[in-house]
Amino acid sequence: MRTVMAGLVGTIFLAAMNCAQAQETVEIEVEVEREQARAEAELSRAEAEQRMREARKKLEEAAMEIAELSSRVVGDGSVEIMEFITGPRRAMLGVNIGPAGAGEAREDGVRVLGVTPGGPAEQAGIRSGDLLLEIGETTLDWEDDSSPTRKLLDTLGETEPGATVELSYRRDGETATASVETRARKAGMRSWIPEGMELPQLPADAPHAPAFVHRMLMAQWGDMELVELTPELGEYFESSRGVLVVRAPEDPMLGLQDGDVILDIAGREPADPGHVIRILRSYAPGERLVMTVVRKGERRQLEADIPE
Amino acid sequence: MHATTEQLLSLRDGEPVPAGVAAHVDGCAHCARELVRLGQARDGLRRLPRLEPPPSAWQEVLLRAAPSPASPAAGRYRPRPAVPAALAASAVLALALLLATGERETGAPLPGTTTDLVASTPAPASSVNGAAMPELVERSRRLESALRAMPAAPRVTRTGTALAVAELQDGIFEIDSRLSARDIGPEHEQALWRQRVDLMDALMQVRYAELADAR
Repeated sequence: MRTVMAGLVGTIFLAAMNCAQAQETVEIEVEVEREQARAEAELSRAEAEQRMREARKKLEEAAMEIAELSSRVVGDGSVEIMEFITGPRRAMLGVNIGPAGAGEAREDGVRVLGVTPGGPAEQAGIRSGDLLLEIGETTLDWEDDSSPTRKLLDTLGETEPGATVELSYRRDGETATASVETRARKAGMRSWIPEGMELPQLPADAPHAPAFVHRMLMAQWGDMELVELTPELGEYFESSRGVLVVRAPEDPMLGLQDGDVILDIAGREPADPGHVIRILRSYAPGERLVMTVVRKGERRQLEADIPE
Repeated sequence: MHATTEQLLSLRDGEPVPAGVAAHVDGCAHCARELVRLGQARDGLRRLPRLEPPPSAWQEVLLRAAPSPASPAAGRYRPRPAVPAALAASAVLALALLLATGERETGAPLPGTTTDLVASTPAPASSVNGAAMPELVERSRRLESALRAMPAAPRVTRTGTALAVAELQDGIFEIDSRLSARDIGPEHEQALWRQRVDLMDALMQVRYAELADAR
């Protein structure tokens, strides 16, 4: 009897063991399947991200092309280029203006029809629809047989680009003032064309030189990612100032690496990522780019020639 | 005298041009080449992959548009009393409808998608071809409001995005500079406004893609 009981217990034990093993096998299979699903999801997420990155790159390139094309669409190209290079520097507010009312219904003031995104007027708080009443000491009215628009343009014509002007304006019945730091038109082009330089005969389809540099930057460094250095990041990356390179460009021309902190570019110290971009955009073909970075606590100088 | 880019764009898009211009382009290798290049640019845009950000992202943009006119950064402007929430919401919805369906057919892609970019900017000036000046100015104003309503750019700056934004902003600044020139003709003025709207549209797409990618 004892032998039978022992045999029975043994059988039950073996069955339990088999059952446990089977359960373990099922658990392992489930785990493997889960891992596979996770890996597939990860892969699919990585693929989606890759596709998103590629789509975004194409979108940005298309936007660049649209911007470049737009500069050539209206008017005679050669006249535009000559005017662009040799014309006077003008102080600009970054607004489009129109008269306030017309004919018998004409009113004092100048209507803002559009505000340049990122331009000086927008930064000072001016919005489309505002009615400009005064610029500096000049009242924008119809006195002296001169239109308000003409008075505004005349005043801007006498203003040195970069100077700050005070604007008085009306919005929704309320009057307000804004200080606008004017900007020079075409400062970018003039900054690298020496005074007195004769304009070479350009082929009609030649891109403007800044556009060439911008396209080069987009193609070779467009994938670079930057972030402003916070005190915490600065402590980690051993620098109290600069802009952190989160993702270095794949292009090896300059030799930037992930984790580099850009301290200065040819002596100009960038305050934030946007400033780095503005500095890079100011380069001309053939110029040498010199950048000081902190890498693992050590200062290094990186150099590259902008292609001609 | 070669055809202007605007005339070439009209030819490309099957719009009427003076007979002399068409004849010139037929016999001029330079203009024919430029016409092919412009065609390729359009085809490239049409081949762009779909980039559909989640609809919730657009909602967020619209919600941010709810507060009425932004008060000036400098100055002594006193904002109006707060607009009742329902009124603000309906204004937002109106903005959404205007932007989403303003000049698009039903079922058109949401603004801020590359599909939308293709639909709206196959070439400079074509998305708003024929639009009258007041319509262009109004559309430009709506785009300005929508751009201002977008959340701040993400902390991590992608160089390509920043370059595209800077390039478009410079393009708009240049157009605005030309618009403030004296003695500008009405046709020239209208063409410039068309371009302005197109650049604003493209800027909107780039900013929106940046926003969608950061999520």
